[in-house]
Amino acid sequence: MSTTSTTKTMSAGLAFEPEKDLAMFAEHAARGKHLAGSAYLGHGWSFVDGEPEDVVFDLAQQHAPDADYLEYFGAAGWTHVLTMGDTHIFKAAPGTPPVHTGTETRREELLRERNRFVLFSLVALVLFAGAGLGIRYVDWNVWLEMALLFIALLPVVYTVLPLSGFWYRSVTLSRRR
Amino acid sequence: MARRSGFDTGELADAAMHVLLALVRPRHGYAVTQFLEEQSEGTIVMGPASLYTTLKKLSAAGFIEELEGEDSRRTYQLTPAGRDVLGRNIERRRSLLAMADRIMEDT
Repeated sequence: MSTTSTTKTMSAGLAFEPEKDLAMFAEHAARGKHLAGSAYLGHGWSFVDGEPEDVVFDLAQQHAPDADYLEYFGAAGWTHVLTMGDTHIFKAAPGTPPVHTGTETRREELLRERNRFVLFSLVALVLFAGAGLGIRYVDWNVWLEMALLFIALLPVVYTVLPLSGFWYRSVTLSRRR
Repeated sequence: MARRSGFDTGELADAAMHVLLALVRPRHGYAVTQFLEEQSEGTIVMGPASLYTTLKKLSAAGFIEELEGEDSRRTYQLTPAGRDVLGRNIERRRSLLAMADRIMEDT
């Protein structure tokens, strides 16, 4: 009876350094470990065992793409591996032309993501401020206050950090133009 | 103030102009890339993410439109506004090349 082994690895952060993760996916594939999904609550990746494969990885960000989107990638030699939110990860044989031509469309994708996360971050900060005001003006149990503060802080971390990543990368790409 | 894009000003970047040139005749999205590669003898290669975004933006700007048909794949063609903006961009590049020739001849 054969069993499929799963490996999990921490992510370098797709919003900050996608190149590191993409290179890691290729290294794993060459050792027969194929990207299968996310792990560690979105902080890492899971891989399943298979035949070693010489491939490169690339990603693109597109909100609600239509059926043509994946068809264009397939026709260009890129196989869809997985989608997380608006991020789509693809693999292809080494030497396949990259999914973006130049920096302009990649920069536009990053700006779209940045703008979405500005909204998410604002909502998270308002909720956090509301929790802070609640703690300031209402006399609750100290453990309840700590729990409330922690819960209100989580959305801030998970929106402001990606926002800074998308912002930093879009500025970096703008300077390269 | 935010910088206006070439889709607003009509001064198109190369990628948008390449796609418009390919759509002088109606084509499916990916046939655009194949046509450009053939015509340019491999010097113009458009990545699928860039192709998708460029088609969407040209469509939103009213420079191309989808053809109605039974095929599930979208077929695009130039609109009169697209043909007009393509002509103006060809002329703009022609002037630029003429200027470049004059400058190079003088040096």
